[in-house]
Amino acid sequence: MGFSADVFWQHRLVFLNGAATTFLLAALAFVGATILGVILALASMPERSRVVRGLASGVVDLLRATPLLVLVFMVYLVLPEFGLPALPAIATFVAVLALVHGAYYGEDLRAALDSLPSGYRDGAFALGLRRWQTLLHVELPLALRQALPALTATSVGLVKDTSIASVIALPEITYVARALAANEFRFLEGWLTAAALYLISTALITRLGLALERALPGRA
Amino acid sequence: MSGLEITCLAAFGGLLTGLAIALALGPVAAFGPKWLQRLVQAYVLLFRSLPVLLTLFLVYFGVATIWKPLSAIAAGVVSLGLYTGAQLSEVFRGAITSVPQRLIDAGRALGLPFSKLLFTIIGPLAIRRALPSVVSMGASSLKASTLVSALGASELLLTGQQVAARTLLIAPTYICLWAFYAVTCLALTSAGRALERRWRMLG
Repeated sequence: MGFSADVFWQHRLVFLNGAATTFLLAALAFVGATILGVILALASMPERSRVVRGLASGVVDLLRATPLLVLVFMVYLVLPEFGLPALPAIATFVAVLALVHGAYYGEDLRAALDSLPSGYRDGAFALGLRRWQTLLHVELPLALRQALPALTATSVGLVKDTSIASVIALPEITYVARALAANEFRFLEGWLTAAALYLISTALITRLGLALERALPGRA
Repeated sequence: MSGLEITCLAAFGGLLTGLAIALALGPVAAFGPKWLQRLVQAYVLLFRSLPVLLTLFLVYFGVATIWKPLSAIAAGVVSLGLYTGAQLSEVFRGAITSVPQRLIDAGRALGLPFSKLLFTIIGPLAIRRALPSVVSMGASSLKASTLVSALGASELLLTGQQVAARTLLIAPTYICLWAFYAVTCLALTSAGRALERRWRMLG
């Protein structure tokens, strides 16, 4: 059973919807993961207390060791058991995706902050900058530049992981492809569309990462 | 088979398949003719860019369309193998190219044939550099094995879901599941990191 352009065209709106859902999940989770990542990285700086650092690295390690799907069920089914409100499927999934990839972003940023020579901070202090100014204007931009290759790889992982939303029946592109194969026995059309979407996103994110690496200040 | 057995089969089977792929493709990517290197690059790029779930559907539905239906577990082993194989091929290629050129030159000067060069000089050094990543990759493989449940294979997660639905012991079941995956993955990644530290100066 080969590729049929007719079948593809018939389902164009379904595919478009699926692609939009994938994009929405990735974009929302990206925002959440970035915020969490910065918080986790700031919490694991050497100047924090032992307790805070230990807590941050514990959260990072635990989240990175958890299969995304297990965490989805934890938030979706287990939290309501403890009297917390049950979130809708899409909110649950975005929250879990943001949690897991926030942990990865946090680790990427922490490693970059650790690798900055202390001379930058000393220089900033000598210029009379306050601690938060040093962080905002000196350390974070340099760390961001340093962490970019890792952040790019993590972001590609985030987009790929949106596919797991299909398991809880969120109609993103992988779900659409699978439904087409299971219900109408048309496998190739949906699969190729989904594969193309992921390949293009990966290529775009990688390009964007490289462009940012060139644009941001800091050593190569 | 029990859920744990299927999970282990998918995770370890996938990892071993990937290891076999990488052992074959790593040297090709480092020393092969240009067109073969390109081919390996294309494989690596494709299966690193596709979500494991989509690879899983490719193997499961694709093989069923052109040949005969595959069991969900077999599809899981093959897809996890393709995924870990792509990741590890890149690791092996990097490990091989990190072997200092002077060692290879020294081997050549001794008149060693290429096969000897590969197995007695490049291999042992490259394995040391690559093995920590293989151990850590075990954690990725274990995490990704949960996706096989989407095809209806009763691995640990799906079995857990069924237990939770039947007994209504929802919180205890999922917390146990979480603990199993987290502890095993943490152990694997720490083992990988420990190996990396231990072999750093020897590489």
